[in-house]
Amino acid sequence: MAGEITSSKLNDALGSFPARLNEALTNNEFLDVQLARTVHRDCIRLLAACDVHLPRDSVPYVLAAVDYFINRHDGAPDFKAIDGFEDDAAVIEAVISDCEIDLKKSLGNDLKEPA
Amino acid sequence: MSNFHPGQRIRVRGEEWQVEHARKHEQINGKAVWEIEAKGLTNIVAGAKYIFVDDLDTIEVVDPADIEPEIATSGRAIRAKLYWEAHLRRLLPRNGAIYLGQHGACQPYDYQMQPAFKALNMHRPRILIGDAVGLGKTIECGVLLAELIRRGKGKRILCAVPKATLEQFQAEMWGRFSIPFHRLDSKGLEKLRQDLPSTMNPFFHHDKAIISIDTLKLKKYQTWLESCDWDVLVIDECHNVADRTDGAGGSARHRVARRLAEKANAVILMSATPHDGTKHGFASLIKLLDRTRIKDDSSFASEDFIQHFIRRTRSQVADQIENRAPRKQLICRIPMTGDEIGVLRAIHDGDKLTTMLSKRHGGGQRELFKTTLIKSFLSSPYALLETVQKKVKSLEADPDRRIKAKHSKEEDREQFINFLRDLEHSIQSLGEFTRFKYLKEYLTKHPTKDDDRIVIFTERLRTMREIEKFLLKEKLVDGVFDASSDGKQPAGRLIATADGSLSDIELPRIVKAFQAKTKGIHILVATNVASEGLNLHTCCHRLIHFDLPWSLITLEQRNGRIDRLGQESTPEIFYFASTAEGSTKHFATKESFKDDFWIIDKIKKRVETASTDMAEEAMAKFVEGEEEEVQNTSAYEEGRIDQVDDVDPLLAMLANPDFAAAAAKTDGVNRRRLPTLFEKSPSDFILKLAKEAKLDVVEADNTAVTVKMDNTLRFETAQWPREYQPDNDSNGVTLDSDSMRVQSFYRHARASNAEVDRSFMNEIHPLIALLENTAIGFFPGRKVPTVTLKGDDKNAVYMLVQSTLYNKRNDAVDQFWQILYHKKGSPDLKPLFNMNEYDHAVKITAWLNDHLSQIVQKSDLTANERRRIADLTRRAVDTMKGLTMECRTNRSNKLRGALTEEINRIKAWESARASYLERLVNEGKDLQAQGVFSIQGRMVKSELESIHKDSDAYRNFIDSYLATSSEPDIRILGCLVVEE
Repeated sequence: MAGEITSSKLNDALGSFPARLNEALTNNEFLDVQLARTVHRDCIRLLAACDVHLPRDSVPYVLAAVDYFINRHDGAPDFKAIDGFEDDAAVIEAVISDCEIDLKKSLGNDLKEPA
Repeated sequence: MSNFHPGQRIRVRGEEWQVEHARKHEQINGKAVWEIEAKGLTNIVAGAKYIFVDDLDTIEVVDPADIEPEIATSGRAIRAKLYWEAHLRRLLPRNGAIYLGQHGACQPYDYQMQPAFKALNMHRPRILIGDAVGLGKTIECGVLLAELIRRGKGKRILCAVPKATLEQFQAEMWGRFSIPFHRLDSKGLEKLRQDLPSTMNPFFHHDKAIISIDTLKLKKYQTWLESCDWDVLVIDECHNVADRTDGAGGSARHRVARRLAEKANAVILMSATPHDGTKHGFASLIKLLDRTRIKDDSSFASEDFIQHFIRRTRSQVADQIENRAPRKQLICRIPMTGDEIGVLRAIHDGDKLTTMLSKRHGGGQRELFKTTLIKSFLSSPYALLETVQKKVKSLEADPDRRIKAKHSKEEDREQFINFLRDLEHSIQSLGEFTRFKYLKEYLTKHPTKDDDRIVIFTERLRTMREIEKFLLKEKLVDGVFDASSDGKQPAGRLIATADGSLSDIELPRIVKAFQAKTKGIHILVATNVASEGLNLHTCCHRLIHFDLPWSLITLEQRNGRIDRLGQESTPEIFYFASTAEGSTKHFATKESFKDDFWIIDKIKKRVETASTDMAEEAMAKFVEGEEEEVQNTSAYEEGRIDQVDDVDPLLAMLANPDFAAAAAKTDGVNRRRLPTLFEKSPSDFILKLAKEAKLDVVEADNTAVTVKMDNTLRFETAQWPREYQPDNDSNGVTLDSDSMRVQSFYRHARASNAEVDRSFMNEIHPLIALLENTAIGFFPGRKVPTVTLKGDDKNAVYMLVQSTLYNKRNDAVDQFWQILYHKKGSPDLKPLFNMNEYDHAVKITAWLNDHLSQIVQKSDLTANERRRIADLTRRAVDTMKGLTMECRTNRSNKLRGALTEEINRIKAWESARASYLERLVNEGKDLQAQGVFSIQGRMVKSELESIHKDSDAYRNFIDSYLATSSEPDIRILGCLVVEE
């Protein structure tokens, strides 16, 4: 994502993600849609938590992790590879784990619930 | 942008065309351009062939729902049936079953279909067929190739074989499986280069090529090879491309094999001797199939590569093959004369070999040269003389360089030359060579006949020449076969010699003449160039090892030339072994004494280990015996397994009983029949088509049909390999459906060195593909065969629809047929068959045959019927698309788990491999600190830098080969209307 990473830019990108995912599915039927949707949902919740619940120090990590998810050319090409979202899931999982205490305080177990 | 596929209708420049080939080219700017070969369908372009490029022309795909039903009830709807059969014959099989293997001009045993079955059930068919010599690996390869071709995965095939077997391999593939390989021998390749513009890549010209691995490795072809893709790569006698440089990049042969294997989708490696006893060499072959199977070349287990490996021995398939007595083997003990022993003693006496060669590597150089001299002597005194004279010549030609290079003094050189001169003198004063005497006695007592020939193997070229001279001098043969000429040969019993200097045209000429009863090669004397892959067993069951190879691989490969399937007599193998036994007093200890029995002892240990460990009775078993006494025992039977102490770790690994059972698994081959509308396919199809299309076809003996030559056929056959093109004055092309008869024709032709006038009527024969086009041409463009049926379900309409899923390479990946049924007044079209079932097409053919028996003859459809069909076509296309997408989802759900598992395995391998390589780099740093430079170090670093390339390559493979487009190609192939 070009320029400064902001929560609103990431939110926009997350908003268009489902359409991008559906489009990608037409070319790659092996895509792990379930995982992609789970990571997408986690990203939305993380961003939401950023605005109100997370300490300021954690915010840059969350933004970077969501940006990593949005960027389609990371460890493995997201929409092209069968394991395209595995690295994204690992990154988001790590951030959730780091911010677990703060998130639990504010969201309880909501973050882990299925979408 | 549209995707274009063969068979699709397109509209260009105001006319309608049918796509014959469509190829997508990626441009440098990332844009894709379609190159489309199409045949005109309408008006003035009808029948014309053009090539369009979609960035120059506007190309519009014609809506598949836009059809024109054409009544086709005449002759019990034979035209419709032929049209559907032609499509059916191209329908992709949807599982890993064997459909064609059992229908070649051969009767493959069950075990011979197992490699194909194993490979077809892999996502990427990559297999090493390591069956013992003579078990029919070529047939196994042919079965697999035929299946791949039928599945659309074998359009471009490259076979790399030893130059000696070029013609034989080509003939087997054509004769048995109708696969038309173009032989790119030196003559063929040069002619092709002359015929083509200089900028054109000759490897693109033929889709199926067979070439010698030694030609492929030439530098001048590398750039062309780099830019070529092959669907299938076959490497026969693949042990020749193993990496013997212990990780230093391998020989030119290995490097070219590696590059080709990386680019090919399917890889078939074949060798009866895939290992030479070194783990690294064997690992390099497995890595040609899948680099990610082996983490550490020096330490791996059978389970690491079993997925890609199959190996059976004669004893493991004994219940399936003909009951023939095991080979007889005789070691012929030939005592040396006192003078011969003297020469051997002089070589053995290390002190007299001068100090010149002992300056480097603590005397290793001296031992090496001593071994060279012993090896030469054990071949023949003539070979030794040649070695000695060459050495003297080289020392005298450039003394300075050699002395400097070896840090030796002038007096050392003089002493060395004197030693060689003495040796030369001793050799020249030898009397008659004892092994010649023995050979003469043997051939006099057991002369050769037209159908009982002899092959003699030797390690040395000079020995080969001397054997030839000796046999001529002793009049044991009458003349020499001239391999340089294709014309008349001398009369009588001929001798032929075969060595590496023969061209890839001359060598097959000798082999062919040796196989033919009518040609007079009674004795073939050959170096190891003829030891691999050749069928020398047709008129020959006797083999003489005039000298002994020091390699187990060479020994076993030599024996395999006559001890193979189809050998009608008991193979007799003679090992000529000179012995100085009784004269060991000449030497300090028996340990240091190296005669043929020293070699035998060495090989024996290896053979016993391999034979017992691999439970393999077919391996050569040396047993010291008296002359003319044949013994055939095994260490295994004698319970001496534990006494063998020279156990090779790789052989031990291969000996694991679980592995042996898994590698030799022969059960569970799933054989199926291809769906067909005719009782006898393809002969019924050909005859009925010929009648309908008014082709000039003659039937003979109920099984053979001859398609008479016309311009179309002449054009088609001109594309075939030149060896199989009919003569200019030929009447036509004959196909025979009787497999046994065709085989007997081939046997007879081989024995009489004649041409075969017919081919087996194989499903994938190129002539049949031509005939299929004729049948498809019955209903060109928008026309769709339509028949009317009688029945209670008045006005019901059935539509036969085909759909195809393509991958990004534009290869058809999955194909379906369906009958969509519409009851008058119903809102929906109902599919009658479950497309997820593999054999749904078989059920549809039965349904079609059943309904075609209820045909009502009509000259045209009523307006009402036409309207009914027109109303349904759009819905039929949409319904079929929906059903196909469901199948696509089912397929991807089924595959996803296995693919994810595989990519995770590769990622784990990359991580383990990276740790292993890093350890090597660190060890290398330590060595470098000690001043040792290794080329391997550079290779390791470069591999480490691209450690993720394998997972990337696998992702690309999934993306290019397995992932399918969401736009299936739908075609309405027929309409069946129940009359009003």
